[in-house]
Amino acid sequence: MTDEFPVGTVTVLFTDVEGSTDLRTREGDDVAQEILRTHERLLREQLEKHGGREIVFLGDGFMVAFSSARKAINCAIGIQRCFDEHNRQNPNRRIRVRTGLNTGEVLQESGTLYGAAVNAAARIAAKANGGQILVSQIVKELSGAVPDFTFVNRGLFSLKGFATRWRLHEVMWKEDSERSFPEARTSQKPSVPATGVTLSHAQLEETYPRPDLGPVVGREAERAAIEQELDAVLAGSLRVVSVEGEAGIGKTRLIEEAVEAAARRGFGVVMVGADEELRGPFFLLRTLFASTSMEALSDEAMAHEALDQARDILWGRGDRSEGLSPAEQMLHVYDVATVAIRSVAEGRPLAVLFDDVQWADDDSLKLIRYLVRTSAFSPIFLMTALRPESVPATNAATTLAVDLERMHLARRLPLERFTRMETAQLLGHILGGPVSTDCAATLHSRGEGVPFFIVEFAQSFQQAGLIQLVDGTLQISMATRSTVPPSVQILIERRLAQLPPGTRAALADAAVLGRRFRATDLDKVRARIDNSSPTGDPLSLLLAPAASSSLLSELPEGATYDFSFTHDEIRAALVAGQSRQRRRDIHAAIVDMLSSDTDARAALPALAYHALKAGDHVRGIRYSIEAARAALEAHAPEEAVRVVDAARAIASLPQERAQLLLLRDDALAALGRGDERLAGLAEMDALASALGDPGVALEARLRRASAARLTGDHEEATEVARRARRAAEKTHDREAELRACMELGQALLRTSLGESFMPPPTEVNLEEAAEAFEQAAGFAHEVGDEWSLAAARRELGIIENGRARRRFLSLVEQFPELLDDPSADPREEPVIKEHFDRARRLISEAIEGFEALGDRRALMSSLIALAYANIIEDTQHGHAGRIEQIRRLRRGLRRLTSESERAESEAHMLYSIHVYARAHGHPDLALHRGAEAYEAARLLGDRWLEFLAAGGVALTHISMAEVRDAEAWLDRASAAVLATTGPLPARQIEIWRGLLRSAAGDAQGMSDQLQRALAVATDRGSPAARCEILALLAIESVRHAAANEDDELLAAAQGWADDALRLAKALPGDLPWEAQAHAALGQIALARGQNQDAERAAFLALSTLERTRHFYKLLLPDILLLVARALAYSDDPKAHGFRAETCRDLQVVAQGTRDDDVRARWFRAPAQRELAELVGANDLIVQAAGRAELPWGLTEREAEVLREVTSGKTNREMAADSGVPEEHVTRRLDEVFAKLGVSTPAEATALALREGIA
Amino acid sequence: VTVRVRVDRHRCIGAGNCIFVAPTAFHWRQGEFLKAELLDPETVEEDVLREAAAACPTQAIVIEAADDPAPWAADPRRA
Repeated sequence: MTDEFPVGTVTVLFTDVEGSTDLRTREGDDVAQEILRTHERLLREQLEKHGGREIVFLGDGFMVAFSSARKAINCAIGIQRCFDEHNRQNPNRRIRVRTGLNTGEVLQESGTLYGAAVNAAARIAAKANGGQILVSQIVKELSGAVPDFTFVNRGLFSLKGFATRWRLHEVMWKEDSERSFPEARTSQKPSVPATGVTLSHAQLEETYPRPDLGPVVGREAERAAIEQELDAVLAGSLRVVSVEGEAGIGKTRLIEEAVEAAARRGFGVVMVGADEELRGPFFLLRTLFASTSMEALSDEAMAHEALDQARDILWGRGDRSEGLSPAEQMLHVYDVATVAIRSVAEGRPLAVLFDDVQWADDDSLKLIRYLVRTSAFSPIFLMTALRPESVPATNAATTLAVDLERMHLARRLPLERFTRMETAQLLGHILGGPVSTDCAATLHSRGEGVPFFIVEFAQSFQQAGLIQLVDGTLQISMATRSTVPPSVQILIERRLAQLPPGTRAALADAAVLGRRFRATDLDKVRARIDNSSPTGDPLSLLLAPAASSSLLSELPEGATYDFSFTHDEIRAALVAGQSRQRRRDIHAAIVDMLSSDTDARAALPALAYHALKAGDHVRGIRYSIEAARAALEAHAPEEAVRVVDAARAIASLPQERAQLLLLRDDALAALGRGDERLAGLAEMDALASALGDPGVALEARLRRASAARLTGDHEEATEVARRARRAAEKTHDREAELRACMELGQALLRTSLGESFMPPPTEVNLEEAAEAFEQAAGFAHEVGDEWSLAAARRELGIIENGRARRRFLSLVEQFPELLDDPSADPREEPVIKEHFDRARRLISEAIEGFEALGDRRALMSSLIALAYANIIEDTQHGHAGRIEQIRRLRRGLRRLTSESERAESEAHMLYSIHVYARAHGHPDLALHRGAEAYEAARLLGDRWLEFLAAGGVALTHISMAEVRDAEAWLDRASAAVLATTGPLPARQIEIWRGLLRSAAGDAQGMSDQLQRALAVATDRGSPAARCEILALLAIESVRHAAANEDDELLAAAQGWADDALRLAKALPGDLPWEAQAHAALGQIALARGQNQDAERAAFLALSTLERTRHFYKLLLPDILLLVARALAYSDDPKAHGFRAETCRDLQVVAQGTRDDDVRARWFRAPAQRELAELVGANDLIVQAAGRAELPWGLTEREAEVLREVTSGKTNREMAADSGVPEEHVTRRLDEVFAKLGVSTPAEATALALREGIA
Repeated sequence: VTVRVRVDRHRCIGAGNCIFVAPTAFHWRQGEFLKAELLDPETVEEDVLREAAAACPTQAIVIEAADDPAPWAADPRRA
């Protein structure tokens, strides 16, 4: 024993006597005592011999520290050999010791060691069996390059108290240990349940990095890219990396590298692989959600509830009572799974790695796409490995990678073949020494630069003795080069040929089972074919040679499968070498076994697959139909299509074909693939006539009508639906007639049930649709179909909404002045009122019906329809409240499908009210809803909306000349924009800052900012944005130029205005920017004393503005002010009209703004004040501004008194008007005068006028 | 632009927010009062279309991308 106490990096050995706790009860105290004493003595001998420092002795175990890993391993081996010897001599007093080693930083305190490395060593020892030495990865690495020790990778283990799983290796210490594995705990598979078949094609297990891989050669750029993306995830955003390349190029190797890199950064890591042979609904995602890693991570993140919910829904056990359409249910599934993954990532960053995605099921890929699109700011790292050459270019996995890259959501890393240098480097690693140029060149060309091939060739050359060490360099023998096979496939075959025949045959059978398989399954299948009883354990022995020649790798404890082929090329070679009959026999045996399973349902996709492969058409089609149905129920329509298409190729009976087509149509309907539906339905029509079945014929026709409607071919849809209805009439089958009428009504309305709220009467045949739905309601009543009755009533209700609207349109056509009369409320017009009344009654009845049936979706959709029943010309009366109501109801509707959008919907609602308010002159609503939207967006993490809302609030403050507030909000917008990308935010920020500078009186700053925005817009080639900015530049510049008499700026403004007008002419739409430019030109003319030109420009601005404001009042005070200035002295009747109308508009603002404070601030802003003065709305300003903070601390009543005074009333008149004694008036007047510091009514009037109170 | 945008007129109530946000991309439907219609979405960036969609109180502006997570909703002829 050394006296030196090791500190710093130390290798810690823990030992523990197996079964020591029950030693006493088993052997009695004395014997136990003696055994333990022997143990203590033997162990201390070894410690001394190998230089270990005993730290703690616990009676049945030691904690020992070593300064070197090699010494520690040697000591552990010494201990095991010593006890082995002891046991041989004392078979009745056997002592079996577990040993575990780990290396790491330790702390020393009061004679013992502390630290995570110490804890880990103890946990590793606990994982060992008696007689076993387990070491961590680091110990193995530190033991030196020279292989003095034999390690066997035992896979990944969860160690108590550690978040990541640890890779443990067993040190083989017996001389013959390489051949006969000791009965280590880690090599024992969990026992297979006695009942049922476990050929687990219904599930897949997460995959694990392969054991004993050397360092990665080359790929520096790719590895750097992966590390970079991982770091980006740590900074708080989702990242996707797609590795692509041919077989053997090293994709999986890179994934394994990413696993390590992610684990190093503290990610929770899950790795799953798709499989060519194994399919099923959401196969890949189910694998992910069933993985033990995911389970462990959800423990940490407390995300069990979300995870369980996702599992339920992915396995088709979700709640389906909400009346959602198949497409909506699919979205709901995506959403719930996404929420679960995000919740797990809340614990700590999550890395999910998908290998072999070219085999992934399309439903899972769509879900992954949804996850990526909706979780931009979750700390999630996704990596996929894809072999593009194995699948058609239009494969879903390929499309996903391409799409995500185009959306800048994924980084694609195509893996190239090795250069000769990299080959040489790789060879150096595998062959264990420097390689001659010639040798490298030969192997490089043989392996075609594909790493896997190079390794295969190198190993086979080496085994054949063709590579030899000459003068310290590995040389290749030229003479015998020709004996080496020309391709890697033949090479693999030769390697397989070298296996014992029994092993090879078993391996070939296993290859048919899949890339991964269980020994027991293989055993049972073989027994069934060969008519023998399962052999049980010996199969593992049979496969051992394949494992030791690394054709197979053993999967770790707890995995669903026992073995995995190390490379797909190996499995492919084996399958190709298998006879067709044998393959069929295996497939048939699998079917027999699976079909006798109690949970055959879960195995349906596998049953269908194997039955078809076995050439068993009858069962193949039957299982396919059932599998497709199950897939639809699990909301995996892509899987249903795949299963049906596989069976359709061989189905010949019309009945079977019709069934398959029906299922396919359901799946395509859920996927919204209308054109494909129409093709399939045409075949179904033909089948119906062949079968002579009118039921099938009607079904086909109704489906065709609906498919045509969904593809937008409304004429065709209506025509087919009419024919279906006529056919249904002949059958006198009320239910058939009901369906036909409902379909016809939808075709005529051009929407699906529950989708329309206010049908546009110019596009839709309301009368015929009403007739169809009335009939439908009658039939529904007759057959007692409550749901259809409610649905028909709802549609009849919204048709009344449409009729009300049609009436309004015809009224306006007759009396256009209606639109300009603020006192006219079209909702009070008798015909319109009647329609709306009827709509409300019908929809209310529908609501009652849906409520009784518990169909929440239909209920929500009807409530929204009810909110629409009364909306006409809403904007003129400023019914923001009604809009809020609709938006709120709609949020409830969305919540049914999209859990994750619950909050988002709220934020969007607030934002839309904000925009509406800003456009229509409700400054209070604009401020409040904007700030609320901003808060909601922040909570949600929606930076884009956060940005828009903050900017909108800033603009509102700018419109009130509140520079400091505006600045604060712009800072918020800027902070949000840092995290978003795209041209819009960058440009928008510049524009807003420009307007802010302008409001602050900084003309130079304004023009600098806006010109920068202009440059951005020009760069991006956005003509609309350029026009907008030029108009702003013009209008803001003239304001400053006019005030400062800045001729230069005035000239520049003219240029901008001209440019804006030129651009506007080339752009579609009625643009407020055009009005801004004209208004600016008017101001320029005014400044130059060209009054006539000014007036002309003002009228141009007005007429443009009128077009812009067509049918709704868009309030743009900046334009109105300049127009008002230009027309201030105009006697033109149009000018009078303008002034009167603007007065009215300002009145509407004053009335519509409920927040006294905001109203006062808005009207007190210089622009609004000047505008009001110019159009003669002074009293309005007084009224509006007066209700808020008043100067001199006047109260509202005192201000009222002051206004009376300024209007020239005497005290007596005032007293008479208000019905109070004259003394009261006098006293209050004295108080007011005191506050103003005046003594006479004249002085008071002057002051009041100056302060704008009068 | 890889997105398709449409106005669902069965939902539109003519709040006019889309026209306020993007007057070159949306305008009032001819012959109908208070229903918006698509004008020329190509004149603005995709972001502006999304801003307009976010600003619609009845969610009547539907932006569909060929690469949307809900591809079943993509339907060129409805645009």
